[in-house]
Amino acid sequence: MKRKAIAWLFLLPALVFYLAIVIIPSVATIGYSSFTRWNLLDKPIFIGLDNYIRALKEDPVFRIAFVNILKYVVAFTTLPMWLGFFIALLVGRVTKMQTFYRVVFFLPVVIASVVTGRLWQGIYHPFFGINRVFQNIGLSFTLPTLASPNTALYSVLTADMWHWWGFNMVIFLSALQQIEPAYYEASELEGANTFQKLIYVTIPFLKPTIIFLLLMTAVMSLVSFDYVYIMTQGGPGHASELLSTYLYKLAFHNFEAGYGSALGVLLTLFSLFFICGYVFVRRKGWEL
Amino acid sequence: MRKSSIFTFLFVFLLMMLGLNVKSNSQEKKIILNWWGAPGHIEEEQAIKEILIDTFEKAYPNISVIRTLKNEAERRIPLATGDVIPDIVRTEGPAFSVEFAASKVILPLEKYRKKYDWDKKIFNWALKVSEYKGVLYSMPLGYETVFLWWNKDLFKKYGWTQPPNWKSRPGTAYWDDLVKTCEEIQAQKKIPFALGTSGFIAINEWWNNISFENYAGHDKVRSALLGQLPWNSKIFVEAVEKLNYLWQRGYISNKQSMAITNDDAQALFAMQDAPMRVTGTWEFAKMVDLDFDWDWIPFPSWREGALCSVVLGLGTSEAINVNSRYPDEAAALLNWIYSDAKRGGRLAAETYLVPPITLKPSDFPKGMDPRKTRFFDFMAKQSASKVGLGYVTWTSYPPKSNEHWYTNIENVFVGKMTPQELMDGFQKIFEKEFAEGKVPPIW
Repeated sequence: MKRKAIAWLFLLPALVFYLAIVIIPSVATIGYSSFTRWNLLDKPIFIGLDNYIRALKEDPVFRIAFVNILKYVVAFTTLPMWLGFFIALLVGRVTKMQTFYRVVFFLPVVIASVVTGRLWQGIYHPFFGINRVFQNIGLSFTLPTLASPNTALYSVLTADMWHWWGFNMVIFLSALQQIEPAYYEASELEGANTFQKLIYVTIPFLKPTIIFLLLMTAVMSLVSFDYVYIMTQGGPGHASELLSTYLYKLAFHNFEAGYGSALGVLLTLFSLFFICGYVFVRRKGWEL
Repeated sequence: MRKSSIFTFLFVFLLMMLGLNVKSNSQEKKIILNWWGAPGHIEEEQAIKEILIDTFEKAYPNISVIRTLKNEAERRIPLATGDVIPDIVRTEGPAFSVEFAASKVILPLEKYRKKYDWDKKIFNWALKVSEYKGVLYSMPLGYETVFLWWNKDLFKKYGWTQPPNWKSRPGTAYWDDLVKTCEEIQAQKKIPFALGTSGFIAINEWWNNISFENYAGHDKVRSALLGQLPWNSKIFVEAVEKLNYLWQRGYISNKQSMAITNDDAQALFAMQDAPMRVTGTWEFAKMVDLDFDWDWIPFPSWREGALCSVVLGLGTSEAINVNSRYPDEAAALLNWIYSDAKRGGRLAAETYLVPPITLKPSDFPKGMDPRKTRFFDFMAKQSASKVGLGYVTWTSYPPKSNEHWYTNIENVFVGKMTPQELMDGFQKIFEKEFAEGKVPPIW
């Protein structure tokens, strides 16, 4: 009993901190503001489920932002995952200068998003960037990139994924280095080729890492904000709008904090879907 | 020896404590005023400190001003939480002050208006637009307008008609010459107008001001802002169609305005790839360093009968936190901005802030660019004449309607929305904001 009390005592500072900055604001967002009409300055007016009805039934921008976030999740959980995985496999085989490759590939992760965003804006620049390169090699077309509603989201996604994939690579590399070489030796004795070793040894051992990274990447992509805000502010029109950028604009620019909170709650519920999936798989012992 | 050392130490210690006490007493008496602004250029912020804050602190030795730069969202949080800091807070203009005033988080300033006789010092329109339900709530720190800026050298080199020489014709006003000039510029593989909205989508509204005021005309805009003419009426739809025409022909950033930033647009102008820009007078500082001859002009009318001499607005409004412990001192600081024309002249010359007071040429520092001097003279005359004074969107339009326009005009540009649909949506949002009293007073 005493040991338990001491344990709680040690947990108390962190618990208080967590309560103050996570739990209380979250509960307040759900209970206090998402069911209200609130401009962030005045007293909130209770309006029941109106904000949720507006989001799900009446707001076309919410639909655009929601579809865009789905595209973001799908893109993020595929390309940077595969790229991170295969580059980790290659870097893992490198014996000389491995640290150099790790640092180079990881570097974009630690560069501030505003720097990366501006850098990619430069690359996409219609007059000086990649289009100028096309012109110089004799190609006469202009890549639409950020100016077109059909390509703006994917252009931002490319920049965001470029910044993220190195993180996946480093985690995969660490996980790969945990696999006992004896397993590979045993499989070689059984006559397994490189592909079979990948399928029957590497991937099964990496399963917890893959699922963890999938969850991490999915949740991270759900709350993506900075690249869209820096590079397009959700434009052209709302073509690259995400739920996070939209709710920020609503809450802090349009004085619609109540409605913005409701969108925040919907975004959280959507994140919970992935987290529940993760918990389920974990309980199943990582067996899908 | 040891005893004397102890006495010496105690004596010094007592003296130090006495000194600290004297210091802390004087600090207790000193009032600390917290003034929150928006992040901007370091040089201009330094000038604000030198011209306003340092001189104010010298005149009021018992007051110390702490200037802190915060973004829009950060500046609202203490008002929402009822904090006593900041004492003075910047709003994004009168259209935003209305929301603050309606929520009673900023102080009514009528008492100080009388005390400092602001009606005699400050342009009438600037005070009127800062009212909410007839009561003054925020102070106009700087006024501004949107101009057409052009590269005179490049126009001369290629023989294009300089904008002041565009001819007004019955039925079309200056539109034909505008389009003809754009065609000629494109023929030289240059971009007629540089515009960049990437990273700050609200920049689209600069062209909104031009299209509404220069095609629909000042009177029509005024009627619409007063709720007497719907925004989705034919004249406003046509104004958007005209703007869309310019954009579709590639006259504005070669249809790439959403892919470049405002700085990129300025770079296109500076590198002489684009000989014209539509931007605000806050960019004078960027223009004066250009190594070619440039000038400014209010954008000529797009339709006969569309009278608009210049659009006027307030980019910066300052309000006093309702919970401030020092409202009188805060008002004194605000008054400091308008109480000396020389100081106002220096502020206008060295920063983006142009106090809305009458400034004579002698009020400005010597050596100021004559084009800037001419601008102040022009604005003072226009403010006094009140003829054809147009409205900038961020000052006189309610915020949600404005946001709808500057976001969705891009949907019009890319063919996802028609001008009629844009203005139908605008009217719907405006009606709601109008009913809620969110439209700033109209002069």
